[in-house]
Amino acid sequence: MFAYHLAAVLGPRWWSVTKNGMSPESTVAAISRFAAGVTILSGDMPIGIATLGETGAAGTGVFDVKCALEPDVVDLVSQVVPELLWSAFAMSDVRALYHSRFEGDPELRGTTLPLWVDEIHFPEYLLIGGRYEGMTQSVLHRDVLERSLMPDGIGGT
Amino acid sequence: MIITTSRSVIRPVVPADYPQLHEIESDPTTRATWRYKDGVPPLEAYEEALWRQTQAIWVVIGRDTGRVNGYLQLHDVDLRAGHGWFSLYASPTTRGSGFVMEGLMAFCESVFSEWPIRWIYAHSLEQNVGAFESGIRRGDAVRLGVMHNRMIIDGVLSDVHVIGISRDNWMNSRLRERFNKLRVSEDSAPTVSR
Repeated sequence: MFAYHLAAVLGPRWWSVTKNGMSPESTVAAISRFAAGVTILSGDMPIGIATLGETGAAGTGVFDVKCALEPDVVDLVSQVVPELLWSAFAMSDVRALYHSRFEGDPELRGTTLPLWVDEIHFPEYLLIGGRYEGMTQSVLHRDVLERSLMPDGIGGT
Repeated sequence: MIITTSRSVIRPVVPADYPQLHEIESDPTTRATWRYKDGVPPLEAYEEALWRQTQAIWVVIGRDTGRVNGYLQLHDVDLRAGHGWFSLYASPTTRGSGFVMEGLMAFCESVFSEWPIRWIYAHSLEQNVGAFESGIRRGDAVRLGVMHNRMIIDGVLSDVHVIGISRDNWMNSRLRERFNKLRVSEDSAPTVSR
């Protein structure tokens, strides 16, 4: 129910889920095709969803995270994303994760943001809120994330 | 749409073309693509695989031989977003002769004239991307980026380039103007049809 509510709020910003329409049936079907997914909670309240998909023979996968656009929710979700990325690498055999982001999307990658490398930019990709927004696809390599936790890495302590 | 040039007829595929398409896709140099993860299916099962996620296919026929020199596929079209993907395949015997790039111009003309599509994109493996370089230099196509070490081909990691062609750019390009002049000059010949 929360996933459908979030899809309804985000509309085209959750393109992988809403591209074929907004019926509950098609939305749930799209969500069920992900290899894995978690609901992000604040207390007992669901505030976001993270998914892992398209894990294939090339050893890569697609990581996505969505939440409502309120700044406090964005802040909470972006704090847990580094841990979710660690979990995604831990639970799958992928060597790299891809992430796509529209120009107007909130930035949810938190402290991992400097570790991502932008690889593809699709200009004017999708009509959102009356204007075309570009989409950028970035990649995070497992070894880069692992190195970031070494003493001289950005996440070191 | 059927487009005729001095040496090619570019037309929608018909089932009688399938054996030649299958032959092209079965060639070892074509096989190393990501289209069929488990290998090219046998001819009996080919039609379904060929059309999977595919909206249209045009073949490039050599006017001198009547043979399929290559083909172009429009696939994964998203009409809401206004974009789609394309793939192109050249026969090993005519590769490098420009037949399929000629086909690509006809493909752009057909797609951008008859589909509500703003952009078409292609994935190109590192070893094939040279075919697009002159178009990129001229500004007729855009390299939208490179996915480094994205695919494993014959056990080796390979980069995948993403190439984009925009409708606005194609419709106003000098390349299109020249291409259509070539077609117009062909209109005097009985082989031209649209």
